[in-house]
Amino acid sequence: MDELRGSVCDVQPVLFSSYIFKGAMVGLLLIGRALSSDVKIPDFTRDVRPVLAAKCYPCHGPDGEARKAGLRLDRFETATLRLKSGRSAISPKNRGESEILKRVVNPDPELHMPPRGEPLTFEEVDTLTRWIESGAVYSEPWAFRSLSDAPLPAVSNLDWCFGGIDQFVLASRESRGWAAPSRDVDSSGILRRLSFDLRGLPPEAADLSEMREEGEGDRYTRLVDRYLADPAFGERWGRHWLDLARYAESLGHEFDFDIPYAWRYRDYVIDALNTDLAPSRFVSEQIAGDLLTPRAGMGLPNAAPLGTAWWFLGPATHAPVDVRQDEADRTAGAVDVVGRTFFGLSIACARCHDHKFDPIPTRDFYSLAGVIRNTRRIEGFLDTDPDAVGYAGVAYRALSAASVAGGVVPRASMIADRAAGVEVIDAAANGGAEWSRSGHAFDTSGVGFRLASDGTLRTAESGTLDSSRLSHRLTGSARSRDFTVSKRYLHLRLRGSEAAFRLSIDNYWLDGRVSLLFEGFRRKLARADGVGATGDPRNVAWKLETFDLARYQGERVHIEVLDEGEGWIEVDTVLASDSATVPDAGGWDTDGPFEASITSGATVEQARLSAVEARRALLECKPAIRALVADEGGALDEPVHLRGSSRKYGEPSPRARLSILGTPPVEKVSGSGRLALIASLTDPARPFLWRTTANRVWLKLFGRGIVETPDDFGQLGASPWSAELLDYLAGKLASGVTFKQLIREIVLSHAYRAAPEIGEDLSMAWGPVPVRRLDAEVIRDTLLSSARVLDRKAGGVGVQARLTEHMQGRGRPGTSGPVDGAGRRSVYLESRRNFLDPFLQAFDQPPPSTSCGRRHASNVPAQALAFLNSELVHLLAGRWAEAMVPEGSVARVPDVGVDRSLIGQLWLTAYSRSPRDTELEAALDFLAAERAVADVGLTPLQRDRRAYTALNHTLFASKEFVFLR
Amino acid sequence: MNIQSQYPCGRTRPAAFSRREMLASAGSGVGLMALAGLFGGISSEKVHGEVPLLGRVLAATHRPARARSVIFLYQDGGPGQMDTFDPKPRLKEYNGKPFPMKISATQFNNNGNTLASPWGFRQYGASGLPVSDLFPNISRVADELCVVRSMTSDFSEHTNANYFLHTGIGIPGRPSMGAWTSYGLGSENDNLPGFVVIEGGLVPPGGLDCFSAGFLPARHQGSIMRPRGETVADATPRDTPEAQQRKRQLIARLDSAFAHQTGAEAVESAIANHELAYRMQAAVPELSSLDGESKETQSLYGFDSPFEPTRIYARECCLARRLVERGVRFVEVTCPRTIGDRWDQHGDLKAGHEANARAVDQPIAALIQDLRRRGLLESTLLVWAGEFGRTPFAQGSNGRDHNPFGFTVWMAGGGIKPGTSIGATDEFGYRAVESPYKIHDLHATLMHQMGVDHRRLTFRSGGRDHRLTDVHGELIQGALL
Repeated sequence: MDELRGSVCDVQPVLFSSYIFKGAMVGLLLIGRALSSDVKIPDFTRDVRPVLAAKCYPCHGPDGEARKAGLRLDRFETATLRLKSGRSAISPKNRGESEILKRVVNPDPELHMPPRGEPLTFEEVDTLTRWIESGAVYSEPWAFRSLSDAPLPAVSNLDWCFGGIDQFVLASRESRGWAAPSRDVDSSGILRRLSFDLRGLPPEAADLSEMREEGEGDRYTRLVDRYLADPAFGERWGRHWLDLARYAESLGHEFDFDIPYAWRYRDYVIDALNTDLAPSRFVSEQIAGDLLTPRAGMGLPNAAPLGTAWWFLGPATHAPVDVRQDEADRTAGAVDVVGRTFFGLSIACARCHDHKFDPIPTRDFYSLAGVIRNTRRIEGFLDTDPDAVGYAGVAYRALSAASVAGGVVPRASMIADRAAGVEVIDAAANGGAEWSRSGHAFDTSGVGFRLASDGTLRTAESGTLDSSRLSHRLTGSARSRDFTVSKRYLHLRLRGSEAAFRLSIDNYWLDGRVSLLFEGFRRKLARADGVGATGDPRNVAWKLETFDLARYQGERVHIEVLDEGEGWIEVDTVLASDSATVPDAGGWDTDGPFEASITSGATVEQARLSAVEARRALLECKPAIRALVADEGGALDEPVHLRGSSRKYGEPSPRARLSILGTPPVEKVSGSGRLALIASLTDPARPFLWRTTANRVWLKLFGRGIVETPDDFGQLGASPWSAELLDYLAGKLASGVTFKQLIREIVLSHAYRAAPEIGEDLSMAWGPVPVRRLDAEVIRDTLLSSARVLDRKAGGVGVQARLTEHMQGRGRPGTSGPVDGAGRRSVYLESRRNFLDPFLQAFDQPPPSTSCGRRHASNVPAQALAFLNSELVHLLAGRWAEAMVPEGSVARVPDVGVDRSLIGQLWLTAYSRSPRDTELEAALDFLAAERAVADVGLTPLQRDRRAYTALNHTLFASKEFVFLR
Repeated sequence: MNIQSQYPCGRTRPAAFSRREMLASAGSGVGLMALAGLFGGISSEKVHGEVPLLGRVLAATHRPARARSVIFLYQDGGPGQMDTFDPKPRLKEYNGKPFPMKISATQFNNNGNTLASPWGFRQYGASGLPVSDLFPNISRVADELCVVRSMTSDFSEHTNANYFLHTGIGIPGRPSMGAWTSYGLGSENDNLPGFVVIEGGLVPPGGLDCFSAGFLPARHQGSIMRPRGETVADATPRDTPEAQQRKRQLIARLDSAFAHQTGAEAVESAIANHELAYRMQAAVPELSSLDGESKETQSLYGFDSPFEPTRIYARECCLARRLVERGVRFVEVTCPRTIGDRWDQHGDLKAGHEANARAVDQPIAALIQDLRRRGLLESTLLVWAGEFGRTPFAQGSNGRDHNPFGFTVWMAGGGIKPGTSIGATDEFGYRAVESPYKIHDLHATLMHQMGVDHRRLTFRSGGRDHRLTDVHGELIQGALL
């Protein structure tokens, strides 16, 4: 509790006498020190900064608006300036002239600093004093410094070291006067540690006997490699990443609507880890996988876009009364995730003001916010057939070639006179070249021919965006650029059949679930008669669809058109006016049908045949899948929102140009800026991504990070206990070392294999992996695996959530999933924000509200109650008994030899070791007592299973089952 | 090194594994309760000073506390202020006519004409506090209430408004006010959680996140108790006592060997935790059994009401009293299902509000009387509030839409000035015009009554010190005794 208490500015009234006393004490300390020669100069980062950050920066830190008396203490130049009073806060090497030292011990409440909250302690005042006397050297916050390239340190016990990691670890211990750990974990202990850490599952019996065989030192290495290659590796480490991604499959809030296709992202993460995707590529794909060169994987010719669902996994509410505010809030949530996950910084704190403690200006927040606002959430079409892209390209190019050879030219505009007050927002020029597309339905060439179903060429309308140029059977979607609403009405001139279109306001999309407040913003086109297989779309009349945007003046909107099946849609013009009707709608056709001067000829025919053939092949391709992915929106810089207001704007903040990332490696920022962002973020010379990631890997293996605050490397976070080791590991990642390679190097270190030592003070340095409780998912998976019901099937739609009577509320699914989650690993259980699994919650699975790099390890009665009485634990104890005591195996009289053998197996399964003699006897006694319980009507089989069910339950509930030595 | 900043994300603390920590968490998590002393109640002088309360972060309150516990009577959906405690006779004049004030955007944007309240108001008690005919019972204790007629919220939508009301921030994932209270003050009963939610059937829109510990340690999250069925999840044994005893003995043998082998405090704490869980199995049913209450008390609350929602809410309120008696800091009571929706009458205001009022009226009045006669009202702060109020103009023809611009909450007991009203809305009851208050102010006041300066109870997460009131919060001075 003491740690916690420190965070609260609480309690004691300040007594004048305590200040006088404190001043005297500091004086004594200084006198005492003058007499001794080995006074250490305080380190700014380690000793001084935490004091200044906590006690002074709130009013004298980076935030200009909160700054009092014009004094800024986080920089040497400003802290040492002469103030109005004629004095300086800090006068290097002159404590008598340093006003700050007087103020922190001044008993006058008018003058005392800090004015509120807990005063500085003796030690803190002493630290400040010594630091000023030594010259008040400021050093850059450690997290912002470039990666260092320190040579391996010298250690006195080099024999203990298996490699570089061990040298850094041991050097850190030796510098504090400690020797190397005295012993390693025994073979059963290290095997469990390794198997649970790498796979989240207990080791198999065969692994254990392999480890036990004495002799060859590389058995351990072989097991490491085998576990790294096990698909369970991705399931275990993927879950770590999902914590950072605030992964869930529903949106929370009132109705807890589904996040469609979220599970594909979960599978993507698991696959990326199992295939050991390079870390920079892994991160880049999540930010901008839709924009990168394709990467085949997961049975898709391009799996990269699947990563981008990461942007859209946060909670969301339906029917926001202020949709712009809603977007701003969702954006801030994403900024928070970006900041914590990739930077280890609370960038989200700079939404309303410059960061109070870290050098993060508000414009950095909006530089990221701009990236996010220009990135759209779409339910895209992803090819499953590697040839689809090629066929589509051939087909559209052939159509284009036919139209060139056929001499097809657009007719002149039919608009003679535009009515006053009517504005053409988008004329779908060149086939809607500015619209972004997903799938293959929408023409990409702006050609003048349609390829009819019967294979004939027909002249088409010019200047339209059309999903039927090649075939009405193709599917896809297309989106206009962003535009700002300045007139009350928007009119779409379009036509089609069995297709949909919608207006998206400030990227809001939940109107698909509840249309409240957005009634009529999604529309469908009914089946048009006579179109079908042979009909001509030109026979379908154009119509004008009008949207009333009275409530959305000034908002940023775009149009999306969707062709999900047999239908088609063709958009000609988007108009805006202040009138609900536009006169002579037909006249607004900006350009009419193409004129074809020649419609036949050998070249045209050849192109036609080529198009017909490519279309046939394209239509025979395996169908595309739908997935939640990112798409480019606009390319607008986001203005700084003054004091966080969603309506009051300051200067635009250039997209993807964060000052904390330094000089950008690429000059030009295009589109949303996501590519520019990853260029900076994954630049080997920039430290944030590599340090945070290396620390996360270490933390998951050692239970404790090199930096204890994995999501906050800022001034209020912890400092690394070995900056050199952190940079050694980070440098490896920056140079292209993969997750598996890094993990391999760490688990092969001696440090990883050392046994915990009792009573070691680990506050400032490295110590062996402590005794740890298994993670929530690992506990459940181990229950399943022990009971022999674990289904190792990978991937797919999540298993429906099990609902207990304590799980109530709106959006509660109509049906509840199976108690045992169909035997699937926990990572495959559906994660519904409002109906999170109580078993996993009890064991500290983090709620998916924002990134969580370090889980809690709590000890609450709900955990013990779950082991005592939960339906799951009881069910699995029984299943295990059924597996151990099969039909026909039970003799009339219990056979002690059989029992001994079974107990041996149980122990091996539960604890990866054989029972001790005393344990064996206790278990036999237990079985005997269970069998002795009178229960008429039980067959010997039932009685035996009941006895073993009880024994299994006790093993489940024992501490060795869930704790790792 | 800055240790308290090591737990940056949702509810993190390092291996919370010391014995002391374990004891501190004894009454928390999802299901919790009880050891010795569970049924003893707590003497009320243990409010200010150095009582060794476990699981709290404040060594002492910042000021003498006026209240030891809070009962938050959450009125799900938002009751109409002009239909309950804020009479607006001018609405009658304009009834059915266009609403004369400028209308801000509403949730449904289906705004009709002015809608007068279907219920009359009368003045009650020595204070003459007006209460609508919806509350024939609460009106009898009107002299106990302090009605704040000028509350406002930042959100027009249920979930944001609920997160705001519960956590001070309109997004999910932040600590609930009950969690803050538990974090700051702990529980006065070592064996009960600091924050209990009695779930009557309707979880607020926004779900369990409304009761979250957010980034605070997990033990401060609201423990859900149900007034029917299994009170606390997994607290009902599936084994016979004898079978459980046999298992317990074997587990103890296995565990003590393992604890000896590892020498880890984490293991020992888990063992102690397991023992606690055994005892809780017996304690929970006793705590939640209301059969021991006298017949008179039972009918005072409405255990025998012909209306089922009243019976449910009666049990909730009675259980709330029992929890407060035993030292639980913060009890939230949620609404039961009535005929249709909760207080959220977008249509058919009359039938809906009548059913909701009927469910809560008698039990709340009984709770106040019962606390009063047991001498607990002085130290128990009751807060009656929805996430917002309702519009004085109709939604459609006979409903009301959400209105965060001015609505009514009331407090009682716990050092609050009784028989008063504070602030005012305009003549139509649409916007707060006199002494407008924000939810943060309600939180600040609530904390103040508990002896906590809301500005000084903070928790560091994600690189900043958070507090319930963010950077806001003024005391509702007129409400303080």
